[in-house]
Amino acid sequence: MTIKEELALIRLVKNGDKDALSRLWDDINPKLYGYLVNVLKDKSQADDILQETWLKAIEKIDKFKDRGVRFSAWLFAIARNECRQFWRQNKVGQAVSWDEMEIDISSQTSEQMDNNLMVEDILKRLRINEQEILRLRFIADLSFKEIARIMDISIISARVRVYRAITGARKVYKINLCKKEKCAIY
Amino acid sequence: MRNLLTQWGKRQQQLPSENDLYKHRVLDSLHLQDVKVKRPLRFAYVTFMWGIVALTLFLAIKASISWFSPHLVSDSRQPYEAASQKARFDAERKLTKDDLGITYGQYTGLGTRDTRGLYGIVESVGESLSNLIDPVPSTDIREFMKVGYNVAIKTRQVDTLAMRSQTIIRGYGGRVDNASINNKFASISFVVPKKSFEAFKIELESLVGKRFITESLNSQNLLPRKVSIEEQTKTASSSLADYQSQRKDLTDKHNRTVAGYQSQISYYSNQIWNARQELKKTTSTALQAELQMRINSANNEWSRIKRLMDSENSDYNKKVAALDNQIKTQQNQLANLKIQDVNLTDDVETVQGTIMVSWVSYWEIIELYIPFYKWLIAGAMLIVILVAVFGRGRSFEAV
Repeated sequence: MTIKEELALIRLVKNGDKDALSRLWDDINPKLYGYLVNVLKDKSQADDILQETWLKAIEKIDKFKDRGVRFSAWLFAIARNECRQFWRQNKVGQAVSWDEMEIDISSQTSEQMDNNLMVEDILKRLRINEQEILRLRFIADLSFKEIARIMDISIISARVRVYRAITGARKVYKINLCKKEKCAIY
Repeated sequence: MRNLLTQWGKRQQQLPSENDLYKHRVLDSLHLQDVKVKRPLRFAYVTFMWGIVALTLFLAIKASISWFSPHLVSDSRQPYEAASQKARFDAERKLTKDDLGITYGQYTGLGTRDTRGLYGIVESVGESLSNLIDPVPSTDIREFMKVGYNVAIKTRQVDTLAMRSQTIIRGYGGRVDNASINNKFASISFVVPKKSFEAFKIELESLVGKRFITESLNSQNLLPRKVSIEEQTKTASSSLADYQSQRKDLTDKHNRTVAGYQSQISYYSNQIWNARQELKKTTSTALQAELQMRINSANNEWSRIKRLMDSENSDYNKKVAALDNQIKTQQNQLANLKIQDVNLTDDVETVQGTIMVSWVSYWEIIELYIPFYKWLIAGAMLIVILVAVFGRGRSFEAV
């Protein structure tokens, strides 16, 4: 959905149009929920925070200002704050064990599962900031401008960080690949 | 790697198991929310904009007043002048009393002092009417340029610069006619020889930077005045010669007349003496009576001629006095004209002017270097206000 379409829907939502809100939900929710699950590693917590995020967004929808970013980016910012609040309140570290994460394998092929596992393995070897930025870029499908707004950095910094995260992931991937090949040899 | 991550990202996107339930809850929450009335235009925003407009107008009007208002050369707040200025004026045209048909003193019987006073009045009248008639023929291409030089200097050390200016004037053989100096403003009237004017000007310009000095040079061709002096001199010389000639003629005629009377008086005197001598010698009563008659007649004639001669002398004295008066007047006029000619030469050979030194504030210095600095400040304020009104931080207003 383009920014214009989103803004048009937002205007309708502000006037109480449920259908417009429903369309926004359908478009944004898969990304948002997927992001929350990947961050929290707990679906039940992700459900709670998902609802909280949407409810807060609806409550404060008049505060949303169009400044060249989408409503979905604003939702992700709210979601991040909710996650931080959750960690603070529960005194839980941000990094939940990857091993504890429930992985939905029902709709995936074996190749997809392998790739997923490989990427998850790569990600857990990256720094937390790099993980976060890769989630926002590839799960949430946000633009650099939107990532910059959410993370309170410049657009150029956002680009650089994404690049560095991908570079870091590539390095880890190569290292893992070398280890596999050595394992294969021996 | 990018493709790998992109595919991974797409696969991570998922819906919750209770998606419809959560969706309905959220949709219901929208229903329960009060539909907020669209906020009216923010009056603070409108107020800001009007404030910006008012400020911009104020600065624009202030700048336009200082730009367009006529400044004297000595005004220290002349904006937008970075270089020295030179101005030339048309030559002044003057008439004299002769052009007005008035020759002072002639046939008026007035004394020298009175005629001089009358001459002064007529001369000033002639000057005021000088623009109406041009006495200078177009074929006369001589130039007698009188140069005037006015300079305005801005500085933060008024008295020091004023003293230095006076030193420079005297150093170039000039003269300070008038000096008025205080710590904020100084005015110096001066005269310098024309031959050293250029060097004097260069030295004066070197006292401050180019942006701090404003010069005005005007020149006036005094040819009409010169032509007027020459014509008056010619007229006065001609009149003098004429009066002198009249006097000579008068004197010659008087002398002849008196000589004639003298000879007649002598004749009758001889006749009287001869008759008296004969009267003494004769005893004839008839002859005596005749001689007595002759004596009486001669006496009468002698007296008559004597009276004529006296009248002639008196008349001559009056006329010659009048002519002498006229001659003296013309001679005085010639002397005055000579003085005027000398003064004109002095005017041409010298440069007169004034130096105005005024104190300059730091804001005025900024204005000299950046004439539009007020617009810059207004623009910067406008940008700040717009950023404050429209610009938000990069982060969202997190709820």
